[in-house]
Amino acid sequence: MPIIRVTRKQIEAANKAREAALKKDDDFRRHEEQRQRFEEAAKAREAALQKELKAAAGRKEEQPS
Amino acid sequence: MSCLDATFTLTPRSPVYYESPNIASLYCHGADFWSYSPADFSSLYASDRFFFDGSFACDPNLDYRQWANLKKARYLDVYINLQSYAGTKKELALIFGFDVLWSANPGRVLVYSNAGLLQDQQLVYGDNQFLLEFDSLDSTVYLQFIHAGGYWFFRGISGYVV
Repeated sequence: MPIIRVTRKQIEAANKAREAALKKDDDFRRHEEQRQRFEEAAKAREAALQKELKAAAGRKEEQPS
Repeated sequence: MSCLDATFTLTPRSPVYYESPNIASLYCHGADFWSYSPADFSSLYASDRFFFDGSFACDPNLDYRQWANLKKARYLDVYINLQSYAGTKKELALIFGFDVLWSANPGRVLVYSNAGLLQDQQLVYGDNQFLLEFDSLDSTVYLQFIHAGGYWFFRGISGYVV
């Protein structure tokens, strides 16, 4: 199987390049901001769902058999 | 023999992994559908795959660090942030799963980070995966897999923290 090795240095260089590109390119920054908003909303939905599932499990346990 | 369970798997129908604070997500910026199986929408949905048509591959000679070039290409974008493992000396193995449609047309994927090309990867007919190894989980990882040739299916990406 082909293997691609990625080092910590390469990841750090990529993240620096990304920061620079976000500062330089308005269109790229807008795209990333939209994506970020979408991702935060998805996280909130997921957290709410987990909470609801937990509460439902709690209610089920409390029910007399 | 025992197999290690994946920490996360991202597929077209299940593109997000979220276990607070860890998150990984898959974005697809352009894939193809044909009228007939196995590359029609229903078949692709059922098999949980994306299809990439070689006629719409990117120019492999362009610099895809430039957003102006990247936004016109068909590519998969993967974002991985496994904060809870930061500083633990754990590593990440990422398996990229694919199928190639015809033996005469191998696939081709440019694996990019924002700093540049990591690998120009050929997808050989009959193979179904390649591996990326990350020696650190301290930083967020952004990867782009750019469609650069051939007729192939994307099956998913699995991450193993080891």
